[in-house]
Amino acid sequence: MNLPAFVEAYLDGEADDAQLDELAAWLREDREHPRVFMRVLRLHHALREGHLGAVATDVVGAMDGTGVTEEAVRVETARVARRPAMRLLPRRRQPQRRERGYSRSFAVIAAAACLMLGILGYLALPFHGDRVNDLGPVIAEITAHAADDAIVWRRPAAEPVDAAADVHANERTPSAADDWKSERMSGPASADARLRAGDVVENRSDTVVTVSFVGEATRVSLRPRACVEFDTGKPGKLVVLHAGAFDAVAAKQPAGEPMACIGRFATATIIGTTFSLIDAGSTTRLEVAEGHVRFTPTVEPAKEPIDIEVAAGEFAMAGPTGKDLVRPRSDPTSDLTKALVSSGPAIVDPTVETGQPPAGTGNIWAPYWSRWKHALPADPAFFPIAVWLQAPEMARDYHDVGVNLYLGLANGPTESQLSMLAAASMRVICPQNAVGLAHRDDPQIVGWMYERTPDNAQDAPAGDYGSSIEPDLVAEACRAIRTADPTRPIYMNFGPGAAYTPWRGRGHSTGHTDMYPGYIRGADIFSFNLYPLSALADDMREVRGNLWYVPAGVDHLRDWMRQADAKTVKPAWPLIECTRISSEAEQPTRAQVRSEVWMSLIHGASGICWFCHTFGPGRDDSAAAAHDPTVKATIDAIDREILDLAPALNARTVVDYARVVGSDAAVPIDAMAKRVGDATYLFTAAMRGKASSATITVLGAPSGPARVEVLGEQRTIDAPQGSFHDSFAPYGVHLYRIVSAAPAKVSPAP
Amino acid sequence: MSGPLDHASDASDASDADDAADASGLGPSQAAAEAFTRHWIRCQPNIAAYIRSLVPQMHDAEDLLQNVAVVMLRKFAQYDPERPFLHWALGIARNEALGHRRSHATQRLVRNADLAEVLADACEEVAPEMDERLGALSRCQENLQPRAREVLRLRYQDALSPPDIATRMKMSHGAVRVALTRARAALMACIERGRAAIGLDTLDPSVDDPFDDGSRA
Repeated sequence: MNLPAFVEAYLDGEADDAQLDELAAWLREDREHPRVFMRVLRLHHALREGHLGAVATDVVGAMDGTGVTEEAVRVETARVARRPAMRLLPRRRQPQRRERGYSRSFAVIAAAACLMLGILGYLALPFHGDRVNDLGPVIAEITAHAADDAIVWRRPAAEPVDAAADVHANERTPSAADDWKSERMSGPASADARLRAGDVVENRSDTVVTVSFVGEATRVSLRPRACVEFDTGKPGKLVVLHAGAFDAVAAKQPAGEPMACIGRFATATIIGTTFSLIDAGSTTRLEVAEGHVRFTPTVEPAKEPIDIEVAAGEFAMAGPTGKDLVRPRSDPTSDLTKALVSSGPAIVDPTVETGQPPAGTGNIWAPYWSRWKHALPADPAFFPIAVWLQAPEMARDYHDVGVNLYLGLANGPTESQLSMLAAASMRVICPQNAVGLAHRDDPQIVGWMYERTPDNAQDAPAGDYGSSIEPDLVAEACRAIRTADPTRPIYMNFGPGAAYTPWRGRGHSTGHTDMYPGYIRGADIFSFNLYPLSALADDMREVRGNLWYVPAGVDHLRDWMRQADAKTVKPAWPLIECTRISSEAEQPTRAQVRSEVWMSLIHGASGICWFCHTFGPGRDDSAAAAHDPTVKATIDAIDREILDLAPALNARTVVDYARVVGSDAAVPIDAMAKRVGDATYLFTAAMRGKASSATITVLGAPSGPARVEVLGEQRTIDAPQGSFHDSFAPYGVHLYRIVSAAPAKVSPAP
Repeated sequence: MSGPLDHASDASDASDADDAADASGLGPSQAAAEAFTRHWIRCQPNIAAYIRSLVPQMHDAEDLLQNVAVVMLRKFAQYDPERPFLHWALGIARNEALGHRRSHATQRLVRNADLAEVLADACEEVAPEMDERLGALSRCQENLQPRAREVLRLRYQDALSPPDIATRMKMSHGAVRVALTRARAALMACIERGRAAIGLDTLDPSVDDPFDDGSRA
């Protein structure tokens, strides 16, 4: 059977957009084609599953001729119930998922069954007062926590026990229907909550929650917003880090009964010591304060089990691929500090309006980019105009409309992606992987992308949404990136909550803007995504149509940057909508898009990024901005305008250059002045969707009569007294170049 | 990587919360848990293949499969045991896959939602025959040349991409593609014919590879 090449490409994850179109056409072409496709996918799945080894060896062996036997179900249900519920957690890309002892099939079953058992346990709550008898023995206690901010997610133990004495200290019957899944510690009086095997403790407080194991001095301290599961091992004990970080003091464990601490990408096996296990997003990090800990990456780089001994004062890290293993190093703090410091000395806010441009360049960002060997150009004519997560095949199209930077590469970078971008002279900020690091000397890569959106709510146990990522953990992840390659800046994107702070998509962290300075300390370039014209969700009602939320996001980022470091302001780039994104939204007009861009620039954005996707039935298009001639023309026009004015945008802002008095107090007219050589530019925007006008008085040079060119509008305005009046459409933008109208002084003839 | 379309996917967040609330009122029993597990074990390969037909990247499909399993579990009380479980499960998988598509800017799926229906029907149709035929897969694999087995192992067990396999095995990218194509074709032919060793002698990608450009590293 010969399959079309696009089917083979699909199976290997290499199908491009054109091949996906071919595949869709082929599937429609003949009723047999979908069947052929499904047959080969069944084969593909069976190969991935180890040719049914999972089911064949573990379950089918207990099957009768017709299907799964009761015994098989019982055995597997019991087995998966004993397995830590790691698979319920959000996972990053894990190119190699070599499991130990459990197949992928059963990982799925485990996730399902663990949840089911959890549901069963809690549904039983309101009807069985002796629920405690189903909980299993107490293995640990919460000995310190903040009131109302420690949550226990409880699952019943697999084996019922008759332990009347083990009455849960904090036992109470839930009154609300949705209380079944959790128990909130209600205060110091009930601070002795007892934990059974499988209980998950989520620390929603800003302080440490301490869990002490029964009968020994072992303590686990959950850092703020950590989520940790406590279970029994076979033998020994398990502490599973679901999110955040914990510190532990482990008593000497009985021989043959180790304490295993399981992170996403590695396991730490403890004999008796003091240590920290940290989920740093792209890595699991172990820091040992006392004693020795055995550190085992989930995926070993050499395909052979690796047990690394980490001694006191050392740290080790493991990532999802095994290739990113960091073997024990001493004095982690100083090493990491050095890595951070090596990025260069702090600089004064380059956008501060006083002083002269840096010597030898007219780009205020030149000193900032000079911190790194590989970063964006310091050329005054360069202004960052990026596209978000676009296929490299489209790079030439985007290059032709003024785009000069790719942000993100799906499943990349790969060699072919980098080659395509190079062919289009396109710079890229991409995730840091082995291919990227192999291009360490390639100037085409101008930054590393921190892949998560840390301020958004992260998945929590039981399918709920929890809090944002703890800033310290984000900083850890960034340190790891920087340690691997300190020659490039690190880029990070924030969610809508950075601009619209009440956005509930930040979960328990909604409104906690105090976390942003912490995030900002970790990285070097920041963006955020908020699309007022496409904000259709109910909780974005306030944002809908209010374009000024985009420059507000820029303001927020710059404020938080100053809070993070009063001496340093870092680049802030908004993502800009240009398509309708979802089917229900209106197509943004060029004027609206231009307004979002220029309002942001006036508020201090030092780059922009186009969001080019559309979604919806029959409208999924990751490169809609390039495919739609109208949108493409909009991007082209705006990009050309920005690049024409790049030397001005890259110059220092001239403070108190003009006084702008709007006709309507409800419509602020914001302005920014720049000077390049003899030319002075005044960029203005009406910040609300209502027509208005403004009187603008030039206070700085050139003084006296002035002629005002309105860029892009083919008109000039005379300002005989240095003052002029202009009208503004709703969210109107005017870009002025102001030149002296006074006759030039002529030197007398000698 | 969570992407810059977060607020646009908010509806699915609410849906998840609703699902969780629904679950609290379903009252499943231990018997229900076992019944679900029983169905799931039997149907999971079909659901996995179906999701893979809608989600091009293997790892994304596997992540989605887990989500689908959890959603099915939550909704299991709504399942009518008089009807085929696979049909019900494919409906849920389809909805989850389409929701996944909306919320993941990085994922480009088969473009049109109507194909999801067509593929679900096809999945149901081929399920019985493939359940039976795949029993021969182990024996079929044993007859592959060692080099072909290694290519398959790297692709499926270690989840390496073809370029990575090429690097690992010092082959050209094209040679890896051809090797994978031939290996899968031979295995498919083998399981369809129900016997182990048919036409497998040429599976070694080091032999007679018309696409090998000689550029092995």
